[in-house]
Amino acid sequence: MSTSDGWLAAALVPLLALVPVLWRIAYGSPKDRLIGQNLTSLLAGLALLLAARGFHRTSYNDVALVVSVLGPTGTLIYARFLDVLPDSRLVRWTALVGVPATVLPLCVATGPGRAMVKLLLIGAMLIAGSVVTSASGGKGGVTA
Amino acid sequence: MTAVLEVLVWWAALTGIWLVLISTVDPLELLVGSASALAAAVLARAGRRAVADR
Repeated sequence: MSTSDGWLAAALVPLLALVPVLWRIAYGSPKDRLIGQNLTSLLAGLALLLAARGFHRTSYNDVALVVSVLGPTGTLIYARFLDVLPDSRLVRWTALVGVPATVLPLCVATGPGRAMVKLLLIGAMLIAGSVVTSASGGKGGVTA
Repeated sequence: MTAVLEVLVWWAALTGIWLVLISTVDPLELLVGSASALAAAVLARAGRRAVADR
């Protein structure tokens, strides 16, 4: 198994984690769906970062960057519609544990330079977006 | 004075982000980046004030 295969195998983790999340989006309550939408963009961002390394296509990082900006924005827009921003420990901890666990090994593999700063920036955006959108909105937030 | 300082800080941060995110750094990119970062910095201050004054 080459190093690329290792990164692609790692990319399978967030990718497979999307399956139960998409299930909840399809069949859950509106609040569950909102949390699922939030979690989907986070997991997709992580999968894209790992796939970029595994497939040697750095442009996938740009998609992860766009997802890190638009994902939380989408969550906030739907939160506005539903009039609640669900409090979600799942999203917060997935971001706080998953993002460093993904980005730091990628940074080590990339080595110092602009590419590494870009990875750290994307990681920081993913964490910031998830933390902001998973905090209790103060209007009867639910925890999932 | 604080307005100029704030726009300057926004501009420096945004230009830095631009330089990190582009694929190759050359003088034209630097010119375009710093010019658009200045416009974005003015908008960022306007946006922040709109939220803060609410």
